[in-house]
Amino acid sequence: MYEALVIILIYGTVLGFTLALVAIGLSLIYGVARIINFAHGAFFAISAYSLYYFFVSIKLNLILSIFFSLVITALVGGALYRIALDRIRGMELNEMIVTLACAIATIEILREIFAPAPLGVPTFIPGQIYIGTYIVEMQRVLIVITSVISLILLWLFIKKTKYGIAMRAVAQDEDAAMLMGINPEFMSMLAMMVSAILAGFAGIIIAPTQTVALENAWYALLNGIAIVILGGLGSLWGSLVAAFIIGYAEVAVATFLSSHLKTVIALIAILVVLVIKPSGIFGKHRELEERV
Amino acid sequence: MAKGRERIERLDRGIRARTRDMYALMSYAEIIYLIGPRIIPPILLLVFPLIISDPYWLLVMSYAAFYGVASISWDILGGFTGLVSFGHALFIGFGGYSAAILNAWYGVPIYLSIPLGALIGAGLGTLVFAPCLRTKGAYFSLASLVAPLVMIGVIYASAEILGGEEGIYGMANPFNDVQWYYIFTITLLVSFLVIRKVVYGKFGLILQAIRDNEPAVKASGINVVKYKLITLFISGVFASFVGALQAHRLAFVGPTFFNLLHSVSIIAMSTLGGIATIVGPALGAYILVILTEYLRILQDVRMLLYAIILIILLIFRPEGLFRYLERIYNTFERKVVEE
Repeated sequence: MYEALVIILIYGTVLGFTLALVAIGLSLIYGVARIINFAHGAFFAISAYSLYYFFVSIKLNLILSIFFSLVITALVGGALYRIALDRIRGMELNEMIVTLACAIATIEILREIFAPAPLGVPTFIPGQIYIGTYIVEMQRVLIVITSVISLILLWLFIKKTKYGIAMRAVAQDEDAAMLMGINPEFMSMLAMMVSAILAGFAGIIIAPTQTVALENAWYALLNGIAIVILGGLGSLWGSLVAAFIIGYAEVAVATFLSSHLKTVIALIAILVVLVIKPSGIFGKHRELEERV
Repeated sequence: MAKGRERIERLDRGIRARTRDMYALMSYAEIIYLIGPRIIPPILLLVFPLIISDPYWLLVMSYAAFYGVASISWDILGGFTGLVSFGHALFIGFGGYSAAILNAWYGVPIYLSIPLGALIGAGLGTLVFAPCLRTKGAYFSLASLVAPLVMIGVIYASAEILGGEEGIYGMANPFNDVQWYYIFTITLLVSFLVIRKVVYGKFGLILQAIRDNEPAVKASGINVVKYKLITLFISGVFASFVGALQAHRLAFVGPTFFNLLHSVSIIAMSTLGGIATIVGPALGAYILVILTEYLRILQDVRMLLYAIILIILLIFRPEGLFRYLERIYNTFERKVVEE
């Protein structure tokens, strides 16, 4: 029992940080552009597959591979906004269907390019450390460290830089932001690219600990959806907390019951939150009435 | 006053009212114009097995009818109520599994297991989605995408109970290809008539009002959640019914019933035919199923094809095929009506 708890704590923390990166991206684009991006899981897959291509297929150095993968993911995110979403902004139903269709198109294209079978990526840092008597691979430690760093960078970007402030202005009031000389279309695209990079980074760092597979895209999207609903749509810090709740719960279910059942947590979280507090644990109720 | 409104109503239907109480049809051309497009497609569907008896095409056409019913039932939710379901496969799967369990385990005869399966499947699906109905459509869409994916996980996990990946075998399948074709086609025609009756009455008016302005409907003292629940159940009954039919036809249900491919196909077909038109989704189903069967190369990249169709249509031509055809049809009125 004690062992199981330690396992849940370690693996849940690692999973929680990865899911936090995915979900915060989803929350960010919803907060800024009011777009529910069903293509978010596709970003996760694109970066993982690009990493496989650069790092394993053409054997580029690690830092460059990660950099190029993130650039590709960001470009896909920007293109998705520019080409598709820009034309149908404001039509919520069409936005949702188009992003879902984009996700499917991306995943099917990846399936055509790469083998449909899962692929493997070697670990970035070999070795392992001991926490008490438990062995933890360095890769998982790396996931935690890099996630914390990227979350801090995101926080700095949103709070301190000019673009981050402009982005928050668009999120608060698009018309007022426009009057201040901010281009909301550009800011939405930027938010899309940042959220793509976050999801892509999650896809990259988690890739060595599991296989690179297309199902992971749906798994990431499914968990991302559950987390943003649990944390409150558009609330970044709510998403962070909810990511850990979902992360620990999934590892617990996978440990005690079956790994097939871990997705059930996502659905249960959504339904329970919608019954008890539809605005999510950190959502503002008034905003929900107005916007969601 | 009343006379004037009647007249306007008749004009709306594209029928000229010449006298107070009867339509004066002036020519055979006008009769053909009026009833042709309404009668010919169902007749063609019903005589299809007499013309082409190739079992392969019968199978294809029954698949088209299967998707047609599912798309029509999607349309009443997505098109008329504004609840875009990304997981309509959930109902197909629930219907299929309910019918399979009733028939294969408890020996319920096929004439009972299919309708009961439809009702149980729709009930279960409504139960799953019920919490999402208090909030606006986006939450429903998010949850509906998640639910079928979760069900696949549940079925894999409960291999001893629900058969896992192998699914459930051995349902009764007493019909041959032609009979199955008629079962599916008549289901399509009946569900079309029933759903059209539902959405073009007072009930449908409330649904469209919910889609267009939910707070206004609430302010009028209408229980929005109740209407959404009823619509969800109606939609679920038809989707589960074809799911149950399909389970008996294949004598098999498995996790593939919950596949995302079903959900996406249904959305693509509805969008191609025209959202919120009822006939459109069925039309789209026939077009896409026949197209993918005809061009064999497309079979493997069906998902990609559907996704691209969805993206292009929704960005550039969101009205759909049916409305386009309807416009062309209306231009003929000038030619058949003698002034």
